[in-house]
Amino acid sequence: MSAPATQRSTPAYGRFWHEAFFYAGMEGFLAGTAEFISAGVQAGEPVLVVVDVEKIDRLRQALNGDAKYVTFLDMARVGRNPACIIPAWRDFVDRHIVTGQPVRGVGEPIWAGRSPSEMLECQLHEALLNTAFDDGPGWALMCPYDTTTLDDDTLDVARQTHPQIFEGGDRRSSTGYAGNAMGTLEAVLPEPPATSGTVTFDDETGLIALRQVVADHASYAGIDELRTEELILAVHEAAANSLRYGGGGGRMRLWQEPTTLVCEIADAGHIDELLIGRVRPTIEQEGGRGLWLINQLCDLVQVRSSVTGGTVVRMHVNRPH
Amino acid sequence: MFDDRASLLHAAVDYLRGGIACGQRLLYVSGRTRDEMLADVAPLLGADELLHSGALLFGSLQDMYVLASNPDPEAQLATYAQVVESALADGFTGLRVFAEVTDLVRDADGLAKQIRLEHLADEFMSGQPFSALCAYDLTAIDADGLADIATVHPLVRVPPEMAPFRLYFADNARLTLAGDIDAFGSIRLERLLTSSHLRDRPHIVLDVADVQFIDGRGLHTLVRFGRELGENGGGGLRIDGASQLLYKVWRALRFDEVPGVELHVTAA
Repeated sequence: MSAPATQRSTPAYGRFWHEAFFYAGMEGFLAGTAEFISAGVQAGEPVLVVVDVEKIDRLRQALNGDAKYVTFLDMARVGRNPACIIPAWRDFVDRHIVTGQPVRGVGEPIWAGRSPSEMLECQLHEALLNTAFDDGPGWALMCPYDTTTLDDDTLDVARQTHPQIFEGGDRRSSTGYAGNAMGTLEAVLPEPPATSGTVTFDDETGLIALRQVVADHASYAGIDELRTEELILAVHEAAANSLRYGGGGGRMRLWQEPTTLVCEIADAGHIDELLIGRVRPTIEQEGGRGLWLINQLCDLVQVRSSVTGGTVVRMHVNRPH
Repeated sequence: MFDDRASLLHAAVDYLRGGIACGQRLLYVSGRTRDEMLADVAPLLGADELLHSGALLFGSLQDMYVLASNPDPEAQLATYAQVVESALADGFTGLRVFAEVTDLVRDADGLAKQIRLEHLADEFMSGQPFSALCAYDLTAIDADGLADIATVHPLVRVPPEMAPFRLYFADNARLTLAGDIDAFGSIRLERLLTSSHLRDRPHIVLDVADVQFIDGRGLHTLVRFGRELGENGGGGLRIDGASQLLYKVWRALRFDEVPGVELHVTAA
């Protein structure tokens, strides 16, 4: 809900405003975000804040009365798989923008504890935000980055994926912004150190064998029954896509990363839709649900595709370690 | 489903013998001549006696399926229902049928009709003292047709790849979906749902407790069917016995927002 506005403001931004907010420590975070959020509340704009639970607590205190006009969600839940973040913003924007009211949000997908694979996906997500919202109605999204815990490379990438930077009290355009160049699925994922459970498949009966191999590896990795069923379904969806769209067959590989079991399905097909799996399917559409479902079922999903390299879908499930 | 007549007859005779033990009247239906049928059941001890006493009947495909008048499956089922009734009136506990029906399904039209009849019969039989063994010659029918037929039978002797899932009426007349339904099988599922007599029902309850695996496409097939039922002025589709995973997927795809379809986790 939004605060009663003493005046309806015309949007200060005619299009999507996407800024990286570089802050130092909790106090710096609160100072920058509370001001941004309060400005939205005062202007009668719906506000959604997606950050970790500790920051949610601190913000509620810092915002005082304004906090009741803000929706808070835990980023660890919404963005565990970064591919699920864009649909969350899409739902929020679509729900409110119909009234002609711009909205604003704060979202912190990157923190120091993210694994290297998660970090890659967060950065891809940040780049794809521009693709997803540049051509739509204007709204403002602030993405906080903690300069005291993140390394320089990560902050550099933030400058490349955000058209605006807010730093040291100053808002300005990012000189390092790479446009939509970063919003591509064509980058190649790092090769795993070692894999087991390599299986090729080229028909429907092959999918049955695949499911059994996944079940065996998940059991060995100590993953619980429901989670195993979810991974099996996700892998099946990816492999069915390979049969249907990826040239009629593919290859599965399985391996363990420090905190996850990974299953990869690769085929010779090409996906040219950048936001694949990040757009909620309609009830009516015939197919095209697979990657959406995979994103809902797994802890982390990585999709890469190019004309020459084919398509790769990597599905991670957290494992006991 | 058979491709070797000797083993078929062996199975048939065993099956009929079981009927004697239960006090059922036996009915052997085929397109063969009476002499041929006599020879087929010769290993059934006392076949002559059984025929003489009326405990064993022979029926022709022509008569039992009322072929001359090109009837609908409901009328064909009525023919069988009459035989069940007279068996009961004559002091038998029920009717056990062995039917060789390959000739009925040699063309696409016949096949579609037979599938509809099988599905209808399955529902009818689930509450009646009436059981049947239907024989189809594998060499005479195409694979798709065979798979459709297998799918609507609760118990079949076919290779598992042929019918990974079943859609049938369990003993308590509860429509049941069992087995594995994936994107490729969902095409068959859709065909069976939309061509069956079920479409005319105002409201259907589907038990999915025995579904081992179903993917997004399979679920979408059920949703579309349920939504159509609702749109045709009926009460729609209620799905019972869903697993935790199925429920999660259902909600992830927002199928819980579709009018005319409800999903429940525990069996009612």
